[in-house]
Amino acid sequence: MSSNSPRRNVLLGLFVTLGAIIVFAALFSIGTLRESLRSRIPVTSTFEEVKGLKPGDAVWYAGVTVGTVKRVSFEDGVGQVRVELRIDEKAASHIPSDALARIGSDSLIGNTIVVLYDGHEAAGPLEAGAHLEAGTSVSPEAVLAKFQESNENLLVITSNLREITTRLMDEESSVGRLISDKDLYDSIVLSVANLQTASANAQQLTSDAATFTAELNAEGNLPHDLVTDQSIHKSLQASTQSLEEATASASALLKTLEEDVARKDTPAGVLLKSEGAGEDLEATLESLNQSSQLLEEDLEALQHNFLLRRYFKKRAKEAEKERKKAEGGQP
Amino acid sequence: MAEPPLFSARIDRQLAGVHAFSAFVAATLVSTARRPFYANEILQQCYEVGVRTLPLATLTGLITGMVFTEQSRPSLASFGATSWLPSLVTLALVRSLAPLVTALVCAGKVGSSIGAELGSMKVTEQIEALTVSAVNPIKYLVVTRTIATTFMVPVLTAYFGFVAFLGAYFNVRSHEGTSWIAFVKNGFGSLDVLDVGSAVVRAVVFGFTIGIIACWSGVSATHGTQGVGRAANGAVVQSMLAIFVLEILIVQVISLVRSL
Repeated sequence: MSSNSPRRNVLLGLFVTLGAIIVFAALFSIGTLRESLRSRIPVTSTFEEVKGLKPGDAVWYAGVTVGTVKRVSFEDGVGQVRVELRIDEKAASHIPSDALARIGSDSLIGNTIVVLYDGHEAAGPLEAGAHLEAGTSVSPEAVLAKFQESNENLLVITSNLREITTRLMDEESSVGRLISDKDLYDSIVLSVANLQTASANAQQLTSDAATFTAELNAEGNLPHDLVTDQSIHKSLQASTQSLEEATASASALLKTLEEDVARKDTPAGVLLKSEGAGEDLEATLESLNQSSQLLEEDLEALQHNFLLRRYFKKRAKEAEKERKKAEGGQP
Repeated sequence: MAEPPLFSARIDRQLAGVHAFSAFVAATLVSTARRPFYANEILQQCYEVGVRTLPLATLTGLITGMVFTEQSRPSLASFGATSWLPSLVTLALVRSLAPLVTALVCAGKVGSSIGAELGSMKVTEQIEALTVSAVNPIKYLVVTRTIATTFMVPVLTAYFGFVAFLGAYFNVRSHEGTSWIAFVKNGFGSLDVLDVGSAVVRAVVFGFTIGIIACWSGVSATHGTQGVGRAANGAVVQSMLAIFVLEILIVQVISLVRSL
């Protein structure tokens, strides 16, 4: 076969075509090859509902993709769904064997995934063939239902709030009057001002009382001395004793006086009890009255006597002069 | 006496064509690294490929940006996520639309032009005349055009992407009233180096593919003026087909790189 023979060209063309096909196949299969070469361990879990989970979906642990879903199938006669997972061997060493599995989503409207969570370090790392317990799934529907419930509660709260504010704004209500009635407001302000004044006065009174008490308690003052000075106490005791003795003497004197008054042979008894002595005393007083009138007339006559008249005139003039002088000194 | 076909006459012809094409590509790559470089011819071809395609790239880019944004809006609006339009459009443009649509436009405009030009030179034996004149036709005709498409398609891709981005902005601005700053910030905030790098790789690969296939179609033209038409048509069809196949391959490679 010559170097330019058609057969050689055909074979070279075939070689190039096969080479291109191999390159294509390699490029398309290398991704799958990488996946299959990755070391993974099988793990299972059982759910009541998987929400459209399918083979190839991701498995997350702590937000990191640690594997994929291998198979989804019904368990025999149980009515539950068995999910087989493939977990990266390297990641499995960081996942506790008692971790829980739940069906989740990678975003609000994203793909369905299996989420591994919780677990204790003491339980040891996840091993091949382990069965993970199913945890509680939080579905977008449940979240929306919770939102709906919250919205309804919010509606009730806002409705109540509206009713309260309506009542507050009602001018007939107590709070409404307080808000809208200016006279009532002024009255309250005045009362508060009076209360403040009374409070200030009370404070002043208390202060004064404290000062007064302090002064009373000051050394040298009578109350303090009364309370603390032993000599005053003794003096008071002595005075009290003297007073008691004086009282006893007075009582005895009054007793004697009563006895004397009761008797008609004593001067007091005669003066208070005897009728004749009373009449004599009345006649004596009347005589004294008449004598006083006569003496007044005699003195009047004496002022007009030529011997003494000059003296009385002089006194009258001096008195008049003193009076004028007193009037002239005033403005 | 003619040898019997290995498989069938048609399959043998196709396989022989594959071999001839691979040999042609190899010869082109080898010639690229050898003197002379025909810089003026390369610049002339860059002008033909790049500057003369600008109006078409502008129109298609603007329309692509506006239409893609308009068509994407209902899907995002159903989630109340129209604010994601800038990032969605930018990602789509950079990762796929700009290199792909630019390559398809160049395949139609430049590929047919090169195929027809080289095809007519082939059927009028001008290529043989060059060989007789001691000018390597692959070096002078194929390498210069392939280099021009390999360099200019990425430039046109960048230009196309910018114009499409503008078209998307006009659409978003008219509907959502988004400012230019917010649009740019939102759009470019979602890009990473790998996105831009993959776009550049795509554009380079597509440019080389368009140049080499168009030149191959031209230099392999036969049967007179009818062959020229077939060469122009073959350049467009084969280039587009190759672009789509390569797109699948590049996406696969980029996905692998992303997963590393």
